[in-house]
Amino acid sequence: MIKLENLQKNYKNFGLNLSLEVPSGAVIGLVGKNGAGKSTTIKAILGLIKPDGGTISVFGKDPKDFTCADKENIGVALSDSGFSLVLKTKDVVEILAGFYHDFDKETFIAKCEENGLAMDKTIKDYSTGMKAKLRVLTALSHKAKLLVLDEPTAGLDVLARGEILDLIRKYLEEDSERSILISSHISSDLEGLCDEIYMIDDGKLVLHEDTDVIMGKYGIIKVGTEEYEKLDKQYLIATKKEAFGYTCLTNEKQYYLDNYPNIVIENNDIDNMIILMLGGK
Amino acid sequence: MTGLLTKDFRLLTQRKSTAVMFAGIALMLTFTMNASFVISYFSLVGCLMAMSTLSLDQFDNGMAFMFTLPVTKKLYTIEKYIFSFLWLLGFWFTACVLQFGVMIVQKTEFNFFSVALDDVMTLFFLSFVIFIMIPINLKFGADKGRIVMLIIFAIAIIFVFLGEKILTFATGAFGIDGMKFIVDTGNFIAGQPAYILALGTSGIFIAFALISLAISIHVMEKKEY
Amino acid sequence: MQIIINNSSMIPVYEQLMAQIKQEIISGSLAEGSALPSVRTFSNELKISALTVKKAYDKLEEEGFIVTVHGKGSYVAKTDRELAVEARRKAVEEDFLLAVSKAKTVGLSNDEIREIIDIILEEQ
Repeated sequence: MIKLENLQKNYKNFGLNLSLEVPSGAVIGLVGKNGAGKSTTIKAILGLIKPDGGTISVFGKDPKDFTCADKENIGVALSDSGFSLVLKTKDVVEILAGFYHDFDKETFIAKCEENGLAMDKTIKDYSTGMKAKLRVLTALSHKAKLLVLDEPTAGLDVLARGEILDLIRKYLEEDSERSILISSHISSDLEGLCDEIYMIDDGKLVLHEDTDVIMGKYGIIKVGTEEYEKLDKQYLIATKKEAFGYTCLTNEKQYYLDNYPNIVIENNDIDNMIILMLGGK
Repeated sequence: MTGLLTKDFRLLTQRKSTAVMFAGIALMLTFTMNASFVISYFSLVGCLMAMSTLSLDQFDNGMAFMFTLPVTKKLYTIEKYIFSFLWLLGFWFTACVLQFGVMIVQKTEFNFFSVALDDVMTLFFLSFVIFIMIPINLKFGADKGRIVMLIIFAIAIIFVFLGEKILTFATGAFGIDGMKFIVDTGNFIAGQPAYILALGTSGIFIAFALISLAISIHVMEKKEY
Repeated sequence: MQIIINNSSMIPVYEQLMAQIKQEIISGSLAEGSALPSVRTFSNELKISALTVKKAYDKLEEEGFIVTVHGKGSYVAKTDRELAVEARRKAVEEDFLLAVSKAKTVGLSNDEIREIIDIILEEQ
């Protein structure tokens, strides 16, 4: 669905250079610090900004050539941009109906009311969580084959996040060709949804791995200074100095489980991976 | 286009000020004799209201989301012109109808054609507000655009008041009487039959419309969000 | 299928998945020819990535436990009965081996061991 090859975009103090692919039916997660280039990547994919180099292909087309029909097939939720605050929910309903041929009005209205988005309420009076829900519901409302979601669950409590993720899961179940590119700071959301994770830092790709490998094959090792000296370091990808010694990230958890039965080894998760790989040494 | 028109229409009708404006038209027309002024004033209000959809769109980084919807920059630009004209026409037409209504009720004598012509000329001149404001608003953004408009307005006023002196001075250097030329041209135009004038005005209208549209689209194509 | 994933376990999720599905197939609670849930449905239920489920299904197919029909889904393989019987047989043989080793350690002779087996079989 999406294919980026050496996509380049340069700003004053920042340069993006990234290759990335979202296959049909896949859910791809994008993680990284603020300013790492996640939003830039998403904007380039959506045709909001023009790249300085490389190629982007979405549905086989360069985003600059998107027609309205192409855009009807993309559902978008941006973190910092949405409908005008002076509009009411019922206005959004009519506006979406005017924009998308495949807009499912009844379901959208039903879902809004289920989630507390009253028809007569003005967006200005929405809570943060309600705004996030509106953005996601909008993206899911018109049978788009590709969803691009930038921080869709930001600002939501854990229950609301679960509800939104379930909405997304159901959406995927309806059509096995639907794919998603989702960027988020909330790693647990990505762990339960994404097939692959791309970690970017300062505009460059730091890691691209299947989620189940990240969660299953990678591991966290905690050792004291002495133990660290004796440790076989060939499968350590990252190390962080701690008060007690070192925390290390390995991509061969089993090796250390087999050979060092007495050291502390924990399951990895995306947050730990970010801390160890992107934090300062 | 439907989506965009729906959006702009709903953006404006949400504001209570729209209803207030309409009520205001009716009120003012019953109390003042200078209907032409009222029509101009309210048509201008209509124009500016339509322009405000541009600033509402731009507010809070809204344009990024806007272009993820099934809209192209060209379509967005064209819709702004169409919507602005529709909105302007709405206000203008209501004001004109009320104007005639009031005159009939107050049993004032009037020549339909000459009043209608006056009204149409008002509409014609107000179109230029749209033709000038949309590209400026798009290029400089709603906030800076206002400042640019003020500057243009100031320059226009300067020209109106000092224009005669400037013109005479400038053309005098080339040995031509600039003012006489302008007056002669004016008389020449006024002397033409009505249909030529109508064609000429339409021509100017269309030319300006197309130039304005071309500039606006060019400005939008270059923008990134 | 009642699959429970232990997130705290050191065993990768797809391996846990495979083990539990195999168990259900061998025990018979998942009948041969019956359809497994689609990759997406299953991953949604378990709240894990679809790719994880797909890997488990692919490995199970490699090992002959299931068959995937492109476009239709995955089904419990018909040859599982033999495999299951084979697996059970092996398990029994191993249990016997253990019992015989124990018996030898205690000092029983081959004849005494056979005697015990005969008594048990008679009581059955």
